[in-house]
Amino acid sequence: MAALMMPPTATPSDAIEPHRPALWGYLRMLGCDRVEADDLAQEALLAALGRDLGDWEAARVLGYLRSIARNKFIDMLRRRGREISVESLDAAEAAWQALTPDEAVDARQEALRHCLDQLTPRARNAIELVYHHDSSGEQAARALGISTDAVKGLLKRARALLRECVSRRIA
Amino acid sequence: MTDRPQTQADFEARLLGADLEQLFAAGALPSRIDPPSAPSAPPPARAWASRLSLLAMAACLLASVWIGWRALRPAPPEVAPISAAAGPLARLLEPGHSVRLGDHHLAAEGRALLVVADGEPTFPPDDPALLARLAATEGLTPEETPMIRDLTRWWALSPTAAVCILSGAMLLNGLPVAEAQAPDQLAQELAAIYKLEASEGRLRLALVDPNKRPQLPNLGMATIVKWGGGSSVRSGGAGTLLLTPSSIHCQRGEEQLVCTSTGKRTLIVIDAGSEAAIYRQGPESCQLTIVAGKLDITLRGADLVAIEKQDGKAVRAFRALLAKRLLPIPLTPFSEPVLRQLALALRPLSQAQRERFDALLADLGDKAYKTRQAASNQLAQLANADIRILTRVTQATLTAKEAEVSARLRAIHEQSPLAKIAKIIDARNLDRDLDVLLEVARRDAADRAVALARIKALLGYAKGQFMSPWTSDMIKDTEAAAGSDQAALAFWTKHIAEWTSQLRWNADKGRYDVLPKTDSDR
Repeated sequence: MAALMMPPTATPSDAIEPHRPALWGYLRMLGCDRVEADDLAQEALLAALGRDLGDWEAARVLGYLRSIARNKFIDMLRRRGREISVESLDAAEAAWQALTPDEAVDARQEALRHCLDQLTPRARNAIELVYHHDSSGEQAARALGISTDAVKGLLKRARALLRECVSRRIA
Repeated sequence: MTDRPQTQADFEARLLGADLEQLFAAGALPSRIDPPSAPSAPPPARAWASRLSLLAMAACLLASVWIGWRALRPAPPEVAPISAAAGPLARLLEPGHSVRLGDHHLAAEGRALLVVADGEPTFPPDDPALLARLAATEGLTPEETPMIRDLTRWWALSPTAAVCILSGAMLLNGLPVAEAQAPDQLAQELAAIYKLEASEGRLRLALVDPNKRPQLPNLGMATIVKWGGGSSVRSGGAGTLLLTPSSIHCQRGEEQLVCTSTGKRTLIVIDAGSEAAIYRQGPESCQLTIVAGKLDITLRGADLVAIEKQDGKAVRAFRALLAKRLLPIPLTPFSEPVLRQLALALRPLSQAQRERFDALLADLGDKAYKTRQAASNQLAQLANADIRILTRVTQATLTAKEAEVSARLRAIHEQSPLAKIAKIIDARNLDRDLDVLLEVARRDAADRAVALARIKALLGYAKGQFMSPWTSDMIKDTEAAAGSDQAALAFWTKHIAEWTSQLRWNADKGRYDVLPKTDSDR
């Protein structure tokens, strides 16, 4: 079954596969849940697979993939009878540019990793409960021994700190 | 996505959250706290008061439930042995032995035959919710859903390591094979032959016992095991099928079933009902986590993966695996008929083998095939596999209604987005497949219908592969020309010969190139 073996040489997916995490994050930012982000990221990668992107710079490839992902996201909403406003898409784009000015997702995540150490232990725990353990606000509140509103405030302040810290580090 | 306007700050928060999720998932952020199930201690007085209050409430609730239950159910119900995995039945039928299954006689002549049956009704007719779900999946109207049950019949594959998969629906749900005898009788008969456990019409193999670590013996040939199947539709579990010349080890814990296949050839099929997330450890060891089914699979050295249906997250998960090149294999959705092709592809046939296999199929009788086979002619997507068409679909046994359902299913499947997947499949055997298809198309009416459908699918694949307007035109022309099978066949024969003459394998690009037409061509 030699025909079933993948060739050892580089394939078109080599150019796009590294962008999967960035694409996933972008889709989550647009509002996809995790599964939807999985699906649409995969759809976008498959859509791009047929194109020869070998000569493209990484940022251009990601930009191309993002445009595919955005269109697929809009299609998904339309299939569900929902729309996203142009203003929201503009705001999303602005957020992406603000946090990822040069599409350097790795740098952003690396910065985030360091910035997380600057949080207070309680804020760090709140972040971990919500983004690692998928805890709801109520669950996190119970775990931290504070009210749900306090958790929301804690998370908001933590994200603001992280956002500022990340921006500073990647500037 | 909420409908209310989103601010840049909202999106930034989401993006930060997504980054955090990915960092945690990748292990880049070490966990510092226990999962929420073990929360940090609240103030002692409040915690104790809370706990006592909860305990009191729970005690009251339990007492109420117990009293009510006693009143309504004086005797405790019998606990089902293994709810989500009542099947499969799987046993090797030694050469020279045979088994009667209702109207059918299954014989292992000159070669061993592995018989597999899952153990639960696939589509209980008395479950409206399930039927509605199924109808939505298959694109059928509610009136047609009872027909779906008839689409699950038994099928055979692999001539040398002949395997016959029996559906639990067939055994237990009043389908034709089981009609001749009471389900329990049939179960007992099978159990006696295969030395399996049987009770209340259910057959099961220790393989799926949650408390054991079962192991299939090395049969010295391809082995197919199927979990789930129809039960997965109901339970949300996963149907899994492993094909390996080696052994399969499975362990089912409270929440997961871990299967490891050490064979070089492993075929895994995940049901559409599976909810799968992913993922991987490396090209030689891929891990698939199926969320709803709580199923973990570890593959080693798998070289084929098939997905039973194209919807469901399992498919997407496998697509992701494929895109990640973690599985050095082609991928196809679709069900048993495709598995048949895959199994055949694993063991290319000689002419003698093909004839024996055809004879076996003939022995099995016309009723042995599913109408859905006609709808599953997507093997063109496996264009790099060594495909042989050995399917014999006899439409004569179908009712008009079944034929209509079959046609609708076929139409649905042909509209599937398989071209996306096909694009990443090596097409080196494309011309050879066409030859085989044409050869089969010349045989008899039933095979010709199958071959024509496959040719059409193949051309659809080619269209996606080459993006050639010429191919698109050809498909359109053929639609118009195919007023009859004979006319369509003549058309295909002529045009495919022309078409393949224009293809040249481009080793550098790993695909076919369509040569430009010359002046003489025009």
